[in-house]
Amino acid sequence: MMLRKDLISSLFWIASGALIILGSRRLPLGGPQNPGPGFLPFLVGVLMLILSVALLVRSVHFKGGKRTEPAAVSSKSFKLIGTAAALFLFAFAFPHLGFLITTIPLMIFLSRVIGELNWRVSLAIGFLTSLAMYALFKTWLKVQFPVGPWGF
Amino acid sequence: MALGFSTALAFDRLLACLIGVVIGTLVGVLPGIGPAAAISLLLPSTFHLDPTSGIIMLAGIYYGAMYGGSTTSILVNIPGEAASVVTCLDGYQMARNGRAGPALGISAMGSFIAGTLSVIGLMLVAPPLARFALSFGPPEYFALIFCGLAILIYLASGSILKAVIMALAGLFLGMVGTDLITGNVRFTFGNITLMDGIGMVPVVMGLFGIAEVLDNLEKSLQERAIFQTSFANLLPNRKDWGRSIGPILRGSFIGFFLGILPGGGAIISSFTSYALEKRLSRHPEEFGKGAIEGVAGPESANNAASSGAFIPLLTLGIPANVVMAIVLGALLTHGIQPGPLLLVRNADLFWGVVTSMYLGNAMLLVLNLPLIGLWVRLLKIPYSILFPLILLFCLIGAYSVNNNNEEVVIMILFGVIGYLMRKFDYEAAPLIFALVLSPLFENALRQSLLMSNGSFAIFFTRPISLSFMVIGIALFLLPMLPFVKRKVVKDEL
Repeated sequence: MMLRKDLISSLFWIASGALIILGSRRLPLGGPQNPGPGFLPFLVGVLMLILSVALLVRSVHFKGGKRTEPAAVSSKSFKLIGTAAALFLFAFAFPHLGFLITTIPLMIFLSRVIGELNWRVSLAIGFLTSLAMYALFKTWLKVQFPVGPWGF
Repeated sequence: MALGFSTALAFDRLLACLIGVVIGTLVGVLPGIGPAAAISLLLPSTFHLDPTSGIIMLAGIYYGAMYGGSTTSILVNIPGEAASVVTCLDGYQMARNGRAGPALGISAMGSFIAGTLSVIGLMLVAPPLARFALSFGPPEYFALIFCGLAILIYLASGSILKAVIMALAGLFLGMVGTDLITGNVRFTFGNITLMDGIGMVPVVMGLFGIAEVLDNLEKSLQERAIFQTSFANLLPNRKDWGRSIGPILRGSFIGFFLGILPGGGAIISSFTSYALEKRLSRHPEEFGKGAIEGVAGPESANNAASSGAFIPLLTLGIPANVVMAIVLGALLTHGIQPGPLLLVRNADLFWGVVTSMYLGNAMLLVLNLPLIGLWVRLLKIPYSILFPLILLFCLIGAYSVNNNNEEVVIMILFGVIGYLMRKFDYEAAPLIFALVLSPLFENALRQSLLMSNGSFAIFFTRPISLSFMVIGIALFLLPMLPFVKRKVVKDEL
């Protein structure tokens, strides 16, 4: 009963199905007698393509029921994008700058900007949780964290 | 059994069980983290333990979370997880009538009795089932996984078409990496991390942990109004017991057997138990207004189901639900292949986990009755303090599995994908299930076809495999018949 949502997502799956088929053609396909590494991926791609076309057709020939559209961009979208961006930034900086240099700012950003807590609480969360996690994982569980240019 | 107790009673095993149960209850109580998210968050930490302790801890988290979920249902009318949705109906009403204590008490006692009964059931059912499964060849395994996927897809709460697409996506993701039979590298785009395949840990942490946080950030979490009631009188009185004992026993039975079947056993069994108790009751008009049977039955059922769910995993190597799929991934990471041989090769693990579940239920009972005040206070922690911690835990967890930064990136990507899946109404369960079972599924298919010299008839000529295939295909065809209306669990309320 969801026209737009299914239309958009079915196009994504059609593209994925086509790419999987193309990718599996490059592998030794084999036949039913001697299925190769490309055999099941090929079948999966074909099935995905067929089913996503069915989903597309169903979403176009849609009548009646309630139409629910994807939520419009709201002020909360900023929080989402900000959080995702901060996480990606962290993931790329982490191996180069080390644990504490990246974790403390991330935690302060999340609690102050996204969580809208006041500065004092945000700073406390930033420092305390990062140090606690450092102690827990590095000292106790002996996880090897990357070391930054300053040696921690 | 003696082996089980000697394994489970070792100090570090007891500690693992205790930690699991406490953390499980904690996350069950905290808002915005379900059992699947909780287990995926803590999965990496269990890799530092030996396999038995690791699985004991995961099991503890699972049934601890089930128990914690019912506490929030009763006190604030917010189910901590899906299986305790029904508990809200009468549990919250009991709390409003000033009977929060007996409601919490009967749910703890019911869970304990049900947990105990279903562990006994597990001991009786698992060994013969494992012996039966020893005769399974590749065609039987292929048919069994096919049937499991079909059940999971049939039970999906949204569109079946979309659930099948999710399962296909999961199968595909499971095939990324090096082909185990020929050594060909598939779909890796030259990336070294992907050559080992897409790890289950970053995917589940992304889809359940990160995606859940992103989804919650968009909703304004409602203020939680908590009753100011005294918990002085936790124990149900004799009349409560008289009314509850029947529902507890029936709930245990229903939960255990529905738990064995693939697909959301705990949720379905709690709904079934509620419906049954309402029908059997001499005063059905009290249901929804604080009938203790409506708490005792479903709470026992969902606890029994969480033990029953271990049976297909430990004996067949096939998980019954998403949480079990994650546990399966954990076992594989530890280098243990669940299946009929587990009972022979890893007898200490099998019986250790079973007995620890029994001990864990006792721990829950002892822990939770005095600690209810503490859980109530935890309920008041604002989400803006919790979510940075959840995210940090995911980041460190995903990194620590292989000390590989690229897995952190994969996890965040799946977090975004998981968020989009929620927006576009796709369910994660069929994807995870298919991802975890993909290698087994592909091998079974290829080996069967080699055995039969390319004929797909092999799946329909062997009796066991034929029965699984027929059930699976029937489940796909059923919803297409106009007179069969698919029951959606969420709509039953």
